[in-house]
Amino acid sequence: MLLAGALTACGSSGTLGTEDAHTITYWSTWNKGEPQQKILQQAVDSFTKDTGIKVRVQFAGRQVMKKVQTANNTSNVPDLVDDSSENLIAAADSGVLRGLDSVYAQTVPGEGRTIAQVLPASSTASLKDKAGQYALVPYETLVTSLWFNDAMMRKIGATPPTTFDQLLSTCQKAVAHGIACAADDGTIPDYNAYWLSELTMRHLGPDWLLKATGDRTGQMWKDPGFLAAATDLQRLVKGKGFMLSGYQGSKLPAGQQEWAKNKALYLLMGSWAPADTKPYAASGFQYDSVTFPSVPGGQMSVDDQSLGFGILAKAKNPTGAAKFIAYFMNKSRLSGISTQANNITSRPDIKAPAVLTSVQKQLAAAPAIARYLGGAASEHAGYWTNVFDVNDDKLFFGETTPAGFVDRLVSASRSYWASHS
Amino acid sequence: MTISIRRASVLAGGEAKAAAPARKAGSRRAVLLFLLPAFVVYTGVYVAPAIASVVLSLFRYSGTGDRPTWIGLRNFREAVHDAAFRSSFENTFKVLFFVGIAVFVASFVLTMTMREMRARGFVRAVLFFPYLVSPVIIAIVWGFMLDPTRGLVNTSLRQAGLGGLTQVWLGPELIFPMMMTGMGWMFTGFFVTILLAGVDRIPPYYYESADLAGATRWQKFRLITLPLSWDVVGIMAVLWVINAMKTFEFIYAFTGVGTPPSATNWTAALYVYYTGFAGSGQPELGRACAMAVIMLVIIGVLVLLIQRLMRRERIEF
Repeated sequence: MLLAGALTACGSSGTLGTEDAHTITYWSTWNKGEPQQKILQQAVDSFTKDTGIKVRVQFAGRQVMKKVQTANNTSNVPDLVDDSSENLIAAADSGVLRGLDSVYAQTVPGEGRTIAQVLPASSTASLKDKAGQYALVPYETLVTSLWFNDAMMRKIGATPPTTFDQLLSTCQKAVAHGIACAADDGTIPDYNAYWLSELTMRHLGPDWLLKATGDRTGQMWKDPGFLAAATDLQRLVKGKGFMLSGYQGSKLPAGQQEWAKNKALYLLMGSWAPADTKPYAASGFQYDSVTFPSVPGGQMSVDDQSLGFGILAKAKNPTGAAKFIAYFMNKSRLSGISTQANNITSRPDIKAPAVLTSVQKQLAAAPAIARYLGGAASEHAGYWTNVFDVNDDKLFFGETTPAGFVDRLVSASRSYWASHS
Repeated sequence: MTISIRRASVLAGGEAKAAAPARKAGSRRAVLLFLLPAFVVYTGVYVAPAIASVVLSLFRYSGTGDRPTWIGLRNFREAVHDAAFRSSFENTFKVLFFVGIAVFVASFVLTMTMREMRARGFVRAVLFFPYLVSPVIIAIVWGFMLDPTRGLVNTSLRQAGLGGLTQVWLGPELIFPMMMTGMGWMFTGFFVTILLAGVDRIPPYYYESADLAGATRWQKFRLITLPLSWDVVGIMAVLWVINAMKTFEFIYAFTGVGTPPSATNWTAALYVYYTGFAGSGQPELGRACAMAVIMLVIIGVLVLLIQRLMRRERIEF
């Protein structure tokens, strides 16, 4: 008990000393040398110059939240952290991060508008913790889209699909021209799950997957809409020559590189796809993308994962951290994410880099914004990895029927939740 | 040293007898003094965390600054009923038995072949090399070699006109056997080196005598090598059990660092890691500790079992 108590001993934030009031500690998800790191470092330097607040910054890399979670057992925590929206929402839900509603009300320096006013409400609505407070302030947006080469699309005599049936008919055209319909790196279960999660969101809406993965009885999986989504997926993976040969065992980045070499028509991937595949792309490759196509009577949404800032619940200088966030959200400073890091910013008034123009249009036209993988992969992480992904792989690799898949998911869900109180 | 002490005792008579316990006590104090730093470090970095793990296994605790809640043995009960944890244990036992058998057989065959080889120092170095390289690097390289679309294995088969033999090596059926093959390759050199060190101690005239008597290789192995290196084989078995039960890095990195393979391929150590340090979502450190304690108990039982099974009268030579 004593030991357990000692492990959780929390340092009191106490009152702000002179040192604390003029210093913030910031741990970042970026590694030194990455374009975003350089942009943030520039902002840190100019922030100190303009405000006199010193920023102790540490570029900790992608595992930054693991570091923060461990540090949260002590009083040695950063004030500010940045990471993916899913990780930050999970951290806010567990009480590691504080709610940021008051930060959204802060004025962006030099603009006379608040953070809430420069960000579209449709994009930020899904960024709340379980208490209903904003968990993060997003600065970069990543979207899952159906990517293709415009030149190849024209070559096979097809147009970008807006419905799933059209997608399957372009698949037939692709196969007739000697290429596969879709590429995928099958050894990454979450990439495989993109297809079924998108189809499920089309059939049943953007919030259904999160509810179903949390259903302790497993009965929600019996919904006819989910069976229809699984059946659609089977139409794709069982289509003769539709999937790139060997996709079940493809090791990242082999599948996406084969796509960039025109061996397959589509790649369902985040908006990092052009940056990741450009060095391998066939000459004349014209990157383009559409939102995952609709299904009859279904619902459209765009799957968005943001990168943003969170403030620790135990932060010693939350005011300074909030000031930095507002400072960075200034249009001229945030523009670097687009112009130098070639990514879409969270502000729609900053133009996306040319290769991601189509993605920014998808965001603007989206009737609803969905969380990455419906939020299910982070809210029910253990279930997602050990039950959903495992069974989805079987369907995606053509090893089971849609009905068999649903049955298996129901029984596996019951078994999982019986051993997870 | 022994002689001089005896002589001193004789000379000093009763005085020396009285001084002996005092000297012993002084020597014991010196020993304790020398042991103290190691004891402190070992207790601090190993024993204390191990005890903390046992304590935390009885709590619901995420390890993110929350207050642990006492739940008794619930973490253990749930871990035992967790299908994914059981499946990860099955994978661990597959590594333990299948890879273990392959590594031991390969080690014996290679040792017997190398014993009479001229350049065996060089061959031993070559075989040992994979063990020197980080398992993470080896796993990544193996993964790339076996990629079905562009990997070295399928590409070579196609170029050799053996396209019919190409496989989806990293597909759901073959990926775990491929992981086990890679681990076998990595560990064989290490165990050959240990075994050769044991075999090298055996006086050559045993083999010369056996040659004169017309013994076959198998007879030499069964009647000379195995009995005279039995203690080394016992140590190898214990080392293998510990290594196999802790199998982690190779599988973690096989499909790329940061992108773990399907949970169907996880070992118990990997499952413990993802439970305690979730890739996303809420970590469950208390539950992970319970799983780690279960693993510790199983390792302990297996090691004791092996030591009992392999207990033989030591042969002096």
